[in-house]
Amino acid sequence: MWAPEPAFVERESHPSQRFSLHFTPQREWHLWHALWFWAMGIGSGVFLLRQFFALEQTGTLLGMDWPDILGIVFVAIGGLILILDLGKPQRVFNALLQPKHSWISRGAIADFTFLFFGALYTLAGWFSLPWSPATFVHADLVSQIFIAICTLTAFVIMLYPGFVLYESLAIPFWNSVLVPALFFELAITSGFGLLLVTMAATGTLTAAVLTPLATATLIANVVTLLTVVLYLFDRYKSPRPAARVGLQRLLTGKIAPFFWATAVLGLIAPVVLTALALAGVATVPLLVAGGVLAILGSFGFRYVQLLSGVRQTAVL
Amino acid sequence: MAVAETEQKPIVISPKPDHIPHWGMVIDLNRCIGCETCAVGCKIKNNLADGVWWNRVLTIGGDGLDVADGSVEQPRAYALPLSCQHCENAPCLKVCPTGATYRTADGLVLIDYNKCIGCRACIQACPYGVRIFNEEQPKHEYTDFDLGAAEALPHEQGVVEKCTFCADRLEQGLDPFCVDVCPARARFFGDLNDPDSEVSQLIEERHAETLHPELGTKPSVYYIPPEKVRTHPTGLDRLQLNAADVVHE
Repeated sequence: MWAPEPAFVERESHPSQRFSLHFTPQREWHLWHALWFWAMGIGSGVFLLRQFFALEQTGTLLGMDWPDILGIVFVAIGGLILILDLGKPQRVFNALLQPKHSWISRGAIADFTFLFFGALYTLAGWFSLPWSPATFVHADLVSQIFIAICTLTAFVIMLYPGFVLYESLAIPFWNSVLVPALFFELAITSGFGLLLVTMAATGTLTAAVLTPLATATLIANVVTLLTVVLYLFDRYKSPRPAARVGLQRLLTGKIAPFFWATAVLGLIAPVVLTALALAGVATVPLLVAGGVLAILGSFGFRYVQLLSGVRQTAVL
Repeated sequence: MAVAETEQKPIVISPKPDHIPHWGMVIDLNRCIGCETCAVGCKIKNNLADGVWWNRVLTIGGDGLDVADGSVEQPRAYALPLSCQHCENAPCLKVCPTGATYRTADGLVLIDYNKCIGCRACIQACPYGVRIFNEEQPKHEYTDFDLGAAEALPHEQGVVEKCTFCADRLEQGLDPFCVDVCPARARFFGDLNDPDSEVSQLIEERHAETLHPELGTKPSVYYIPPEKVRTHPTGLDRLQLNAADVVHE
């Protein structure tokens, strides 16, 4: 019995290579997509966490809370990157047309909705608008409606890039249900990171909120780290050869230095630093350092995950 | 070739009133000689830009074009023409956020270039790798005049392209161009809904298979595997190409 064993070609350097069978890395989505995923994740994450922990004192700019401002700005930046990366940016509103079956469409609707209602909610801190900029538990009905809409859309924003990758059938390395879960978790860990850095910078990281925030951050970081391990194992067990080729590229191939740097500095170090902070060793500086590394790790993992996407071949 | 966006209209194949066909293709890999005529014919007919191929003929064997695997005494290779499979359950259609990728009543998966935003999600979703993104303005450096049929779709920057089964020719009652130009008569085209059609009978009698059936995409392009034996039901990757076993008619 003969089964062809395609070689892995880093780049189809010669035109004739397009006419033979081999594994190649996907070339469509790279740095800009990683930035898009990261910015939207961190933006929606930080916005959501302020509401979840009902943080009223997080520092303000022009009367608006920093986490809300940063949340909206990061989601807007992510959206802008997404639009500029399109082949036809001027047609971006076409992307709103197929929410029934396209995750990009659902995500685009969630982005615009989040930005609109998030901006309305946040601007109440600057202008005298007939609703409150307080968190959900202390807000009036109008603000609670705005926050509820933003919370729902923030969940979609955190998840949908993961589902976009999951449904990319040509890239088996991404076809794992753990990918959307990972995207959600990375959004949460980077959101925690940004929240801690912001609160530390504005002097609002008080003893009252420090322990619950640090504990939740530690749990999020540990869960994310475990999910990454589980995801890599899941891809190793995949019956589709391109998934294993992608994993090999990630762990031992060209991407390996980036991956291991991300794993050590961006996934493991935040766990260690946050645990040390909780143990009472130089608490705030360690939390901030862990937060910064988690933010970088959130970007780094998304980037290496994109780079490791290997296209399957037509017959294997 | 710069073309105004308004010039292109989506092609809608009108089914006959009494019968809706499901267009499909059968490619006999025993007959295919890997001459690339279908690929070049497609490129000319559709006026494809430099570097754009809607139809490729892959060498399955060694790691280069027309390179065999195996030994000098017993080389092993076959050619696999590859273009859009016009899947019934097309993953590209599912991920398209704009509805630019659509399916006609008679089974063609087409792209409306006026709706496409160039997000490339369909490229990542297509397990056959047959979609191509026009990152730059399509160029035709080797000819200073337009090639191809007058009905060929115009090409523009920033959108995704692929094979249309020559939908414009189907409207005229003709077969796709690759079918007509194949010198080895390896390609057959017809109605998969008609059990008496040549393609339906070939699929039945010659045990034709689709690529990656395990993915559930239900392609409309079938392949008769090399050799006259039924291959592994999950694809063409378990081929017995031992020269001593080849049955010569």
